[in-house]
Amino acid sequence: MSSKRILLVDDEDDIREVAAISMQAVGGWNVAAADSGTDAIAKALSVQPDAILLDVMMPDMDGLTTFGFLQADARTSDIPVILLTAKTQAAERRSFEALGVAGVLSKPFDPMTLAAEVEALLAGHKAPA
Amino acid sequence: MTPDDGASSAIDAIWRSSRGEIGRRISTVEEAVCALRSQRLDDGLRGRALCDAHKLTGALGMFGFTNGSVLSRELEQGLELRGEAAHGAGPQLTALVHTLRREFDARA
Repeated sequence: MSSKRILLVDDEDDIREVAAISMQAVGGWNVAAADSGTDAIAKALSVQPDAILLDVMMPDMDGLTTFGFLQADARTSDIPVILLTAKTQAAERRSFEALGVAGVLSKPFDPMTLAAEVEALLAGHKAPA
Repeated sequence: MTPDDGASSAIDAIWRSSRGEIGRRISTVEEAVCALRSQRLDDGLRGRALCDAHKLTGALGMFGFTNGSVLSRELEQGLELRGEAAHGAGPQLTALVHTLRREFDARA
């Protein structure tokens, strides 16, 4: 079992709670959660997670803007970010991947396999030099 | 009890506590489809329905209601249509939202 920390970011309570159960109970991760982009940036700095699972569509500050802020700060720029999106268009997903994220996962996710999918993406992700 | 059993029970509890909000979101989509069919769908209601359909798409499948996510995605795409295309899609969107409501009520 992993003892790594993941920061879950989603404005939807139910999705955040299910993802937390998936990562914690099924995957053995320690979990921190944020309900907005602003909260995510603050928690990324204070928690220093090993990975961030970041919803794309959020009010006020969306996931892509949040990712930009995380990348721009040397204290958080090396943390791998996996985007979570309900968008299915291939071109849009490719544009997300081109940003340098560790991966893109689809909503709805399967709670029983989410942790394994996250770990597979992180294993295949090369940290920036 | 395995970790998976514990997770399933906890997720069932979240489903039970989320049903009211999910039902409200389906109602918004129903209202928008009804307005679309009578050609009185304004941008405010369209925007709320698109947002709620998108949230339903992202959430229902993780509770095992996979077809709910599929139906919600089709509704979201349909509600993005404008003009004649939107009006022409009315009967299909009505059928989709009726199916979504029926399947949700059967689970709720």
